[in-house]
Amino acid sequence: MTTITDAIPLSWILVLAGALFCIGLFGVLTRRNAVGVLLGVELMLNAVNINLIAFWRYLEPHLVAGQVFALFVVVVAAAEAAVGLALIISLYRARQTVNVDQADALQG
Amino acid sequence: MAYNVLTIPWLTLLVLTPLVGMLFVGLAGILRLPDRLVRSGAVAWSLVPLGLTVWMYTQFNPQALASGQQVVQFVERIPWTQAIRVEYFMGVDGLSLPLIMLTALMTPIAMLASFSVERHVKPHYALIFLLEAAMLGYFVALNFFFFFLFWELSLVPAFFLIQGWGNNPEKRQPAAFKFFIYTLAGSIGMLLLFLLLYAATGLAGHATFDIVDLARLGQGLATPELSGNLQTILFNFLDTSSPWLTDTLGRFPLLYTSIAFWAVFIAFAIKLAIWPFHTWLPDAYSEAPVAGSILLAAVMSKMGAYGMLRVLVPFFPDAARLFAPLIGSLALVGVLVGAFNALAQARDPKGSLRRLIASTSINHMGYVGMAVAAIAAIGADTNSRAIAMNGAMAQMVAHGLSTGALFLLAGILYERTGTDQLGQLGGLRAAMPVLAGVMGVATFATLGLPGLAGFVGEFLIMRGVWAALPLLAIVATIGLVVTAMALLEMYGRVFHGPLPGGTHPSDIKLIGREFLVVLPLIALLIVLGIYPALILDVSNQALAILSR
Amino acid sequence: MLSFLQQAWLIPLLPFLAFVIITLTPLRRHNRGSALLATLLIGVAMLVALGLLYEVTDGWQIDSNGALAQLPVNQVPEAMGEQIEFRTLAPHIVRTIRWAPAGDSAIRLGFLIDPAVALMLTMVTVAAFCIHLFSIGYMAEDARQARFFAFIALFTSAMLLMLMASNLILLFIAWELMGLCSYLLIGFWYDRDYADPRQITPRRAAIKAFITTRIGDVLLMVGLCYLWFQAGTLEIGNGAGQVFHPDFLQRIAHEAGPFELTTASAIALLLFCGTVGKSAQVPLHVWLPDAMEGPTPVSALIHAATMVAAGVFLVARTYPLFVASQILPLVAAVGAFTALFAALIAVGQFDIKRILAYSTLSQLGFMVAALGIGGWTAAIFHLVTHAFFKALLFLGAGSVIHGMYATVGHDTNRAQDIRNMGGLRRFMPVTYWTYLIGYLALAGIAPFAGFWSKDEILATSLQSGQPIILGALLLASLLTAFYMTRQILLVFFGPFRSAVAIHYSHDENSSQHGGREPHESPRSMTIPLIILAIFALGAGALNLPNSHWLSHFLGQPTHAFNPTAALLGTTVAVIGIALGFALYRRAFTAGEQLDPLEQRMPGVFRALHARLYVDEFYAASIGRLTAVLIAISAWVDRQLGRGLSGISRITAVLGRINASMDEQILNGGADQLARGTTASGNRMRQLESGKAQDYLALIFGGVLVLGAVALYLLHG
Repeated sequence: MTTITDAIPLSWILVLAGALFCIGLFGVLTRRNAVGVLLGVELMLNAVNINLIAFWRYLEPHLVAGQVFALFVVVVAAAEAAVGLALIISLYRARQTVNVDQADALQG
Repeated sequence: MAYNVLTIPWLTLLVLTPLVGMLFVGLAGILRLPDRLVRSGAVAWSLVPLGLTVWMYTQFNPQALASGQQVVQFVERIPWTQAIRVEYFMGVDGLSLPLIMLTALMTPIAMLASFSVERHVKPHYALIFLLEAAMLGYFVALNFFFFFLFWELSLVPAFFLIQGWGNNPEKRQPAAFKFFIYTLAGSIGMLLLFLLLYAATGLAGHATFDIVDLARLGQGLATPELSGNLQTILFNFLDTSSPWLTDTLGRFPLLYTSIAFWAVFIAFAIKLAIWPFHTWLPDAYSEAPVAGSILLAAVMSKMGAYGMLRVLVPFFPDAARLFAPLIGSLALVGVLVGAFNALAQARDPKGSLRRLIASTSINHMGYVGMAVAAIAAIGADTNSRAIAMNGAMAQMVAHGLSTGALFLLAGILYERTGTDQLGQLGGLRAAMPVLAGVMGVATFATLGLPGLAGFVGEFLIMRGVWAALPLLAIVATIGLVVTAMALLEMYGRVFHGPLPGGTHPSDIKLIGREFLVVLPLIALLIVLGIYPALILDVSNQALAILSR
Repeated sequence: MLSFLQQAWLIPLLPFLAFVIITLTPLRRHNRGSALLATLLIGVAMLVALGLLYEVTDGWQIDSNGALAQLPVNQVPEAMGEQIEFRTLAPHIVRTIRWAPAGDSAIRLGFLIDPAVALMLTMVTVAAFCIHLFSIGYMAEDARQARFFAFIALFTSAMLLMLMASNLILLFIAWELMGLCSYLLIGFWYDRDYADPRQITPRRAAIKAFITTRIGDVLLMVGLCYLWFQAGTLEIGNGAGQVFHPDFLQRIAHEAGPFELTTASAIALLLFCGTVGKSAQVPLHVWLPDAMEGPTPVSALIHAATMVAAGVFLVARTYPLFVASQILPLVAAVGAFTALFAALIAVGQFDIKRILAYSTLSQLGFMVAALGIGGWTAAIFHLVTHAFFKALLFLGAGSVIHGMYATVGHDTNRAQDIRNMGGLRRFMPVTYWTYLIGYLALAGIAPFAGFWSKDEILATSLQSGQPIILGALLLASLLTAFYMTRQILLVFFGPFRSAVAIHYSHDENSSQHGGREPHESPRSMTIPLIILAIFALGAGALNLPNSHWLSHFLGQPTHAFNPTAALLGTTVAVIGIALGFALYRRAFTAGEQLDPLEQRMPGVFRALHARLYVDEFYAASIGRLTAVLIAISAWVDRQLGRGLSGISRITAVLGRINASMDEQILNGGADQLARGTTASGNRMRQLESGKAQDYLALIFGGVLVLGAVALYLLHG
């Protein structure tokens, strides 16, 4: 019986996840809109999730640690999105904008 | 009873009183008290150290001897910085007591004399207090650390006094700088030498800055911790620590002692204005404000002679013996140059009265230098040395009094007439009879008239010098004659001669305060001239022992 | 009884008290009061001195414990041969106090009375009293009288102190104090100026006197130092630990000193320098004639009777040292030369006081010469008689000048010029007669005092076999008689010539008082003249050839009366008088303007009038030398200053090098570093945009870099 592990080598999946991570990263770094940044972060998290699942399936299928990690990440991502959106709202309230270029209060 | 009395730290009190006076003046500055009050208050306070010294004079026991040396009295000895073995060690013996008294006496007089200072009165008086404290401290300190500290400290107020209150705004600054740099540069050798001695005694077993101990070592007497001879100790140290030096220059202990001797000699010679280290003196004396010239001439120059007697001769007797003729000759040149320069001033219509007095000071300090040479010289017997030392002491005190009086009176003259050019003065006897009289006494005391204090010193010095270096004594008589000529020509010009162009105003007579200032000086000149034992009894024992 | 010996200290103290009181109390504004006080106190001192002399004559003696003893009257043998004999007498009383410590010993000062001292004390107090008395009248119109009396009292005190000093230090102190008083009194009219700028003013004369004598004084001081060094003491006396101890004298007489002299000779020579200065012997004689610028009583007291004799007294006091030395011939030569030299100059002077001054020089030369040939008693004798008759002559001159003021006004140049005088014996009889006595005494005519004392000096020189000295002294005696005859003829005889225009006088406007006839002086001035005249007449009785009282009193050997000497002396005196009479009988009459001697020997006279150019010689030699030395010393100082400024210039150059090093390398480097740091910081802070995205990008960049490093550098 040929399984997916035989049909597709692990590296392909890792390339996919890397591409996805890079797309997310690109979004995070370039988007002006805070919501877009948040979306990029989600993409990066999911790229990591793909990696976790892929390593679990290909390397240690008899353990459940990978799935559990992925689930954790999903939950954390949801929470993070909620917190992020809340931050964006408060940013908007304070500055009337969600453009991250103008949120440079960290500069000394 | 006596023990209780002696446990009071008299000397610390003595040095601290002027400093407290300085604080008082500062306080008065903060409270914006009127200058008039500050002046009289300062004078009143300066009588406290004078009273203390007089009390010490009455309590002093000139006969006290222990282990072949005169006992240093009123001793305070407290360990201060153990790491470098510096002790707070103060004491008085026959050598320092007359000079302390002179300092304490001249300060109120200098203060009274500077009542005419109108600008920045409070700093002026504060600086005088500081100067007094430094000079007193110098004379009582018996540990090199404090000795040197006070030595350098005395420069600071003197510098500011000349620079800030000098008569001629253009000349006072260079004069002050010259004075300061000269003295400071001279003392470097002394500082280095003491550090060397510290290291050397350290190698010998007990590093010390103690002047009394070092002097004992210099004379080959043992101290509680050390024995041997300072010359050997010094040489051993150099031999051990820098063999290349002794290899290069040779293994002659006396050579290194001689270098050390000159290092210290130059420091003291500058202060004493021994020729050719005297060139700062005429400028400093004549540009200083009246208080400055009084204290500089009367007391500060004695710091050099005191140092020679306290440090130079006892530390390095062998080198001193070797160089005595040379030092005597330098001093003799000073005697002659001072005398002839004074005469040049007296004959030059543009000559300055204060420069003339300064030149006679060089002349007189030359005699002290000759006495030091005689003390060190080989030919002298013990008695002659003691006489020479007594002479030096009498000369120092007398010169302090007479030159102090002369500068004081020259200051008054300058104040009244606005000039101290001899060519512009004349016929003042009619206008200022009392000033003429007291100036006459001071002048004759300066030229060494018997019956006044100046003679005692000159005669005893001549006697001492004759025993060791008779040729110098003979030649020095030229100085005696020429100084007399200069002073008399000056006196004749200022008081007897005609006034070039016009007459003096009649309201320039001495006022009561001025007379009061000069009176103690004149009285002391006469009293010490008639009965010099008052001073010499204090010092004779110490000096006789030092001269062995 | 015997209080006088015990209370001898009162003698100098009383005049000193007068000085102190006049100077320090309001009495100084009270002219007459201060004059009376000074005279009174010196009078009391004179009484004490007389009492003292009486007791000493009686031979009373008090030892150091206060015990009393009476000495037998001195029995002395007659002098034999040419050997100089001198005996130091035991003092009649010595009292000292500790003055100053000097090493192991102490200097003790005090007073010492022996016969010579007692005699001198009497002489000085008597002369001083007469002169004080005279001054009351003479100075009556001077506004600064109190000052005058204070100084003259101080002088008297110093002189008396010098005489009785028990220690040569005290002697020297008093000696110098006399010099001070001499300075003050010569310059008493310090504000006086003359029309001729070359004529010496009192203030310059005072300085000249002080400095000239000081040259001798400092050498004397060195001599005392030498003596002290050798003897270990300066106490006078021949006991143990005193300067005339026989063993000590023996030692220094043979010990080699400097310059191939024996120690004794060197010491004596230095001491003699003091005498040369104070007693105005050649070559230091120049100050005494100019000292006549002082008031006349001062000239009488200080510059004739007492102070100038101090030099002679010094040699007499330290005579054992001179006897032990080899310089007595030098002493004799100096004295004889001065005697002759000064007598010569006196011939050419017109100022009445200057003639007397040169005469004083000459007579002092006699005394010094007497000491030099061993005539100790003769010297003391002449000192005493000379003091009386010279004081008399000076006071007489003062009286004459005082009288002349009435005619020519207060112009000393005119009042003292003998060419303006003449015939004064009619106007001033007392002055004339007393002056005549003084004149005869000075000229050496028997039986006046000067004859006896001068005769004794001549006899000694005859006996000592020194023909040159004898010849010089005889010639000097002749000249003395000659110039004194000239003086007395011009002053007291002939017509009164004040109207004669005198080509030597400079000031034409005669001031307030002039125009009247000269008058006799008041009684306060003539009484002292009479007293002194009695002494000038009778003082010779002290040592008459038959009694030799003075020699016995002083305990010295006597000389038999020498008829040759007396004959010689009288002959030359008579010749001198005759010559003077012949030449000057009609001088300056009939419109004559020139001195008779000038008419005959113009060159010689002009040289004598110019004092043989000694002053000019000194001005050209020593004066020039001093100027050169001043220039040298100023030059040396300038060079030192230049050397110093050279050092300071080098220091400045070093400082500049140091500064540029600092500026360029150390300071510049530090600046560069700081600037670089700032610049890079500025560049770095660009990174910190405050935008989270940029930070994130950096983080990832960093992760990439670190990852690459980890992969390829650490594990690769």
